Amino acid sequence: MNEKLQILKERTEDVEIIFVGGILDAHTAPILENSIKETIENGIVRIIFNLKDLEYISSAGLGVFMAFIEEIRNKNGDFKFAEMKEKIYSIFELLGFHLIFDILKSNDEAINYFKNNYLKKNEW
Amino acid sequence: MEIEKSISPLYWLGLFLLFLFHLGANLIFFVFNLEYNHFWTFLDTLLVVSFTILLITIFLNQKGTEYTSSSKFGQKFLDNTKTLALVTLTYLGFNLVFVALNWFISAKIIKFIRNELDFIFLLIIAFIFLSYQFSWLAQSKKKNRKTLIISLYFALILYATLLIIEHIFNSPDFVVSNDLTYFLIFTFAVLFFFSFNVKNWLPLSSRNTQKQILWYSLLMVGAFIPFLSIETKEIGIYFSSSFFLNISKFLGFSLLVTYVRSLYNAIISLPFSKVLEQKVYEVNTLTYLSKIVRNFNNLEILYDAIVELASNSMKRSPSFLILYDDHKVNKVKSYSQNEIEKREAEFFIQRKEIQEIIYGIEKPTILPSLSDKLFKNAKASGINYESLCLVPLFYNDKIYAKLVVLNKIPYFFDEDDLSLLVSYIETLSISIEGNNLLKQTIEKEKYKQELIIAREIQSNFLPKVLPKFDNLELDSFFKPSEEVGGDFYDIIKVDNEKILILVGDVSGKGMSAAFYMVLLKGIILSYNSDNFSVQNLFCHLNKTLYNQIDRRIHITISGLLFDLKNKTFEYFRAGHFPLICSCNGTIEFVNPNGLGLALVSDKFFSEQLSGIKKLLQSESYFVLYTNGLVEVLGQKDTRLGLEKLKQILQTTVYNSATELKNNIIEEVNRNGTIFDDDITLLVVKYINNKEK
Repeated sequence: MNEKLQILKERTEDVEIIFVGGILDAHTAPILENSIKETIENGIVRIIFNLKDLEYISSAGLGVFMAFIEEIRNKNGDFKFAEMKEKIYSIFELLGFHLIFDILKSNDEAINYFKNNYLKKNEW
Repeated sequence: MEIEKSISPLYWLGLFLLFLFHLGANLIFFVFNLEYNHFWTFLDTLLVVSFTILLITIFLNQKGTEYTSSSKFGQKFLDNTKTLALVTLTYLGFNLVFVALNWFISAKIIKFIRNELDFIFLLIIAFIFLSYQFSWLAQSKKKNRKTLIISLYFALILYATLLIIEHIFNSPDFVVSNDLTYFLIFTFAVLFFFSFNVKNWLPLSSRNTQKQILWYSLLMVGAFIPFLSIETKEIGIYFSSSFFLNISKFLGFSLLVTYVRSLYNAIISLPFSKVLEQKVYEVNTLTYLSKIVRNFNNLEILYDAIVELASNSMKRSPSFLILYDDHKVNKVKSYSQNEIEKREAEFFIQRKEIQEIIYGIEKPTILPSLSDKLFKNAKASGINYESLCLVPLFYNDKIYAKLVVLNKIPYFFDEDDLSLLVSYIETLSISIEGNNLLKQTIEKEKYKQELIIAREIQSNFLPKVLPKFDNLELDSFFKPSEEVGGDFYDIIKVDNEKILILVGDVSGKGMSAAFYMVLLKGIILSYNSDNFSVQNLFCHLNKTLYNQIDRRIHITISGLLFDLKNKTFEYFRAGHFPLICSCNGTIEFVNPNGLGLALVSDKFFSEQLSGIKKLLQSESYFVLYTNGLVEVLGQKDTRLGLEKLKQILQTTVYNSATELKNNIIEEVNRNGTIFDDDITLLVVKYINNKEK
C-alpha cells in the first residue's frame, strides 16, 4: 500500500465502504481508481467513501469519482460520501460536488440512504 | 652504454694511469732484471693501495637505478651481461692469439705481455661486475638491504687491508694464508648470493630475454672457470702478483655464483614463461578493455576491440561478435589474422548448420569437436573448424550479442579461455549499460527541450500585454509548476463598454492539463454569438467539453464582467474560486453558484449556474486567482489560503493593481519556493475618473 494513500474496504451486504485516508492527488489517484474498478468488477455498485482520514484532495483526485459515476448510476448504483473533514468538504462544495453526490455525516446514514433507495434526484 | 653511465670517466682515467704506472714499473723491472728490494716493495704497495682505494671509491659512489618493472630489470641484467661477455670474450680471444704467438716469439716476452693484459682485463671486468652488483643491491627492495651493503663494504675493506699488509710485510711470492683468502672470497660469494635476487624478476621477464639470459649465463659460467684455475706460478709477474691472483679468484667465485644462479633460474622458469606471458597478456588486455570501456558513445570501437582481443588471446583464432536486434542478427563483426583465414571463417560461420548451433546456445559454451558430435559426414561436408567457443551477452533479458571463437584443432579451448571471453563480454555489457544511460539522458534532455517549446507556445495563448482601459488598471502573474500548465486567463473586450476577465484551471497538471487549456482557449476563440452573455459562454464551454474530454478531467472557470456604462460588475464561477473584492475598504467574497465544466450535462449545468451582479464603487480592487495560489498561501489548506488572501487585502498598503499584486506574490514567495501547481493571479483596479 502506498505511504501517501491508505485504502481500506469494508462490505455490508451489497454496500461497500471504502475508507480513503491520506493524500489523494495526481500521483495517488490511479491507486484509488484501480481499487474502485476492482469493487465494481465484483458487482458492487453501491459504494460509500468514508473520507474521515483524508487530509488532502487535488483536482486530479476529484476526477477519480467522476470516472465511474456514469457507469454505476446506469447500473442503479451510486457513490456516497461520509464523514469528510470540513476542509475537504469546502473543496467538494466549490466544484459543485455536493450537488452531484450525497455527502453525509456517517456511514450508517449513507447506508440508510441506499436502503431507502434514495438516489440523488437531480438529473445531472 | 651502461658502464659509462654508472662509472664516471674520471675513474677510468685513474685506472688507466695506474695501469700505465704498473706497466712502466713492471717493464723496467723486467728489462733490467732488477731485484725486488724494499724500494720496489714500496712502489708495488703504493700501486696496490691506489687500486684498492680506487675500487672502494667507485663502490661508495654507486647509486642504484630504479627499475619500475621486472621486465625492465631483466633487460638491464641482460644488457650488463652482454657487456661483460663482450669484454670476457675479447680477453679470451687475446689469450688464444698469444697461445698461437708462443710458437714464434720468445716465450718470456709473450708471457710478460700476456700477464699485463690479464691484469688489465681482470681489473676492468672486476670494475664492471662490482659496479653492477652494487647498483642492483642499491635498488633492491629487500629489508636486509642495508646490512648487506654494509657487510659488503666491510668485507671489501678488510680484504683490501689484508692485501696491503701482505704487500708491506711479505715477499711477492707470499700470499695471505690461503684459508683466509678463500674464506673472504666465500664471504663475498655468499653476500652476492643474497644481494642478487633472481627469483623476483627473471620469471617475469619476457620469454626472449629469458632465453638470452640462459645462453649468456651459460657462456659466462664457462668463461669464468679459467679464472679459478689461474695459478701463481703461471703468472710469474713481478709486480702486484698476489693482488692480481686474489682479484682473479674473487671474480671467478662471484661471477660463478651470479651466473650459475641466473642460469638455474632461467632453466626453471623458461618452460613456464609461455603460460606466464599469456596470463600477463590477459591481464593487460583486461586493463586495456577497462580503459576503453568508458567510451560509451562509441560502441563500434569497443565491438572491434573485443573481437580483436578475443582472437589474439585465443592464439589468433578467428573470432566473431554477432550483434542481435530483437532476436535477429543485426550486425557481425569479425577478426582473423589474415584475409584468407577471415574469408574461410566467415564462409564457415554462415553455414546453415553452424548458424543453427550458434542460435541455440544461450550460455557460455565450449564445443570441442564439431565434426564428431554434430555432423556424421564431417569431412565430406567440408567442416574445417572443429572447436567452437561461445559466450552470449544478454541485455534486459534479451539476447544482445554472441562472441564466437573458432579453431581448427579439436579440443582447443579450455575453461580458462571461456572465462576470459566471459570477462570480455562482461566488460562489454558495462559499456552497453552506460551507453543506454547516456541515450536516456539525451532523450530526457530532448524531451525537456520540447517541453520548453510547448511552454512557449502555451504562453502565447495567454495575453502577453494586458490591454489598457480608461477606468481599469490590470496586472497579472503566471507561473506554471512544471514546464507547461493547465491554468488559463484571458481578457475579452465584449464591446466598447463591456470587458470580460476569465480565469480558469484544468484539473491535473503538466502536458495533459496544457492540452485541455489550449482546447479551452480554442473553444472560447471560436465562440461567436450575437447575444453574448457569460452564462451562454460557460454553457457552451460545458456542452462542448463534456462531450469531448475524459471523465476524469474537469475545468473550473470564472468570469468577471465589467459594464462601464452602467457601472456594474457581474461575477460567474463554474466550480472556480469566489472573487475577492475590496470595495471602499470592505473586503468580501463574491460566491455565486456554479458547477465545474465537463462534470455534468448542459441542462443540469445551466440550472445551477448563476451570476452575482453589483454596482461598482468609486475605488475597487478585484482579485482573480487559481488553486495554486490558494494552496501555497494556505499550505495545501484551501480555506486557510482564502483567509490569508483576504488578510493581505485587509492589512497591506497598496495604491494600484500592481502594488496589490506584488503584496500577494511577496506572501506567496514567503510560503515556499517549490510550487506543486500552476499559479495565476489577476488584479483589477476600478477607478471612477469622473468622481476624481
